[in-house]
Amino acid sequence: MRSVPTTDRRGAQPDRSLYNRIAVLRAERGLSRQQLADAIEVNYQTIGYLERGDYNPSLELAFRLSEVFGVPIEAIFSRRPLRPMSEELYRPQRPEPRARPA
Amino acid sequence: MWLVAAVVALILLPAVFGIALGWFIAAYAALVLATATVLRQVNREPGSWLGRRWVRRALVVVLGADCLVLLFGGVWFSTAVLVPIVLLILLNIALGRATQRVATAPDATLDERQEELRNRAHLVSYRLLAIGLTLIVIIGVATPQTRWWLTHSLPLGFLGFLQLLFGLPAMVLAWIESDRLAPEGEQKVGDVWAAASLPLLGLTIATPFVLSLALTFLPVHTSPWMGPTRVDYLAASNSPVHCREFFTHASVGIGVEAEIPLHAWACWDGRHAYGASGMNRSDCMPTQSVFATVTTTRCTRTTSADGTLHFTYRAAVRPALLPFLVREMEVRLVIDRNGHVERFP
Repeated sequence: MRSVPTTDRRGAQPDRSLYNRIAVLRAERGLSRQQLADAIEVNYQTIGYLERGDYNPSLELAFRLSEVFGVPIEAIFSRRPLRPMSEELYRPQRPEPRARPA
Repeated sequence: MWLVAAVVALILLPAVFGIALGWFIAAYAALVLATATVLRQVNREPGSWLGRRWVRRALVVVLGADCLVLLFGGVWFSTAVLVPIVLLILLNIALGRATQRVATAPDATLDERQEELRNRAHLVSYRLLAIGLTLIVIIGVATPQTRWWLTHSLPLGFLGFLQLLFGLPAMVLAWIESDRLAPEGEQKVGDVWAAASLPLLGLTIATPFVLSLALTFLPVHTSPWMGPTRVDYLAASNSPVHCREFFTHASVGIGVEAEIPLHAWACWDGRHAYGASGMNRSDCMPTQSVFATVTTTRCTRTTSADGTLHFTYRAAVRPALLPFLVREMEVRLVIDRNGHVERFP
């Protein structure tokens, strides 16, 4: 499995940013950037950078966001474009295959 | 407020030592104070002008240009040295506001993103400074001319070096950071200060350069005065000798300005006209210049075959901030042997 470095050789942010649902989750909970920033102990400008994808958080910061929103990290961040959460939640379920008679 | 006090002291210091600087300095000092005051009122969390990347990059470019002026400018023994120093202070105030002083903040006050940004700015600054120091060493050993230039520019150039040594991380950080978000909800009043800060800062920076440029095309003003004709009873001559006093100032520029005087006595006796006083080379001295250097290029007194006196005083004026520009000023007095003034000034 290909590993994804957190920074490139020059120590700069990678060209591929992570996709995230921070703005959606923040709006659902009625949190301002300042309130969310206070909850995870960062500057409110950092919230903006995270939402825009201009900054990829550390693992610790990702866990803090997960705790505040009450969802797993993979529900907040993804390496691929995120689909709307409603689509994720109400995606038609495949019928379970019938068990074959013995 | 100590920064404002430093600016005021730098502006008024020449006045304390008795250097006449005129109304321009007082007006410019007021502008500088107003700009510094407004900059200090700008909201510490700018999502406004100072938070935008292009504004911060423009600040960095101007600051770099100011450092180059200090490094290359030959204005050490001139009041014009105040201008780049004052600009240095103002630009650093603006840069500090624009970057929220992240570049010099301790770890405990920064979150992980700010800390990474600060560390990256310091890394880039270290590399740039290493390149700069290498260039200085090369300049110092390359040729006698470059060694002379390095020694000559050392006092002010060292000031520019100190700015880079202590201010380069903030400059790099201002360059690389993305646009900031506007503050949520509040701070309409803060936006007013921010909206006023950029034009004021631009005006403060541009004013000395615009006035320096204006020096080259503004008309020369003269204020001639000629006294009444007097008979010189003490002259050793068979024919009566008449004399007349001539007085004028030729000035050019506003704020950045220069003035050359002429105060002379010319006499005539019907056979020839001659200069009685005030037309010697030692009399061709400029009296006043503000942010400009004046060099006498011609000071001649001749009498033609028909007895006409020709006196020419010509000077070259160069703005201290833009020394590659030059403006010629000239005062001439032409009087014939019968006392008829053919040209003045």
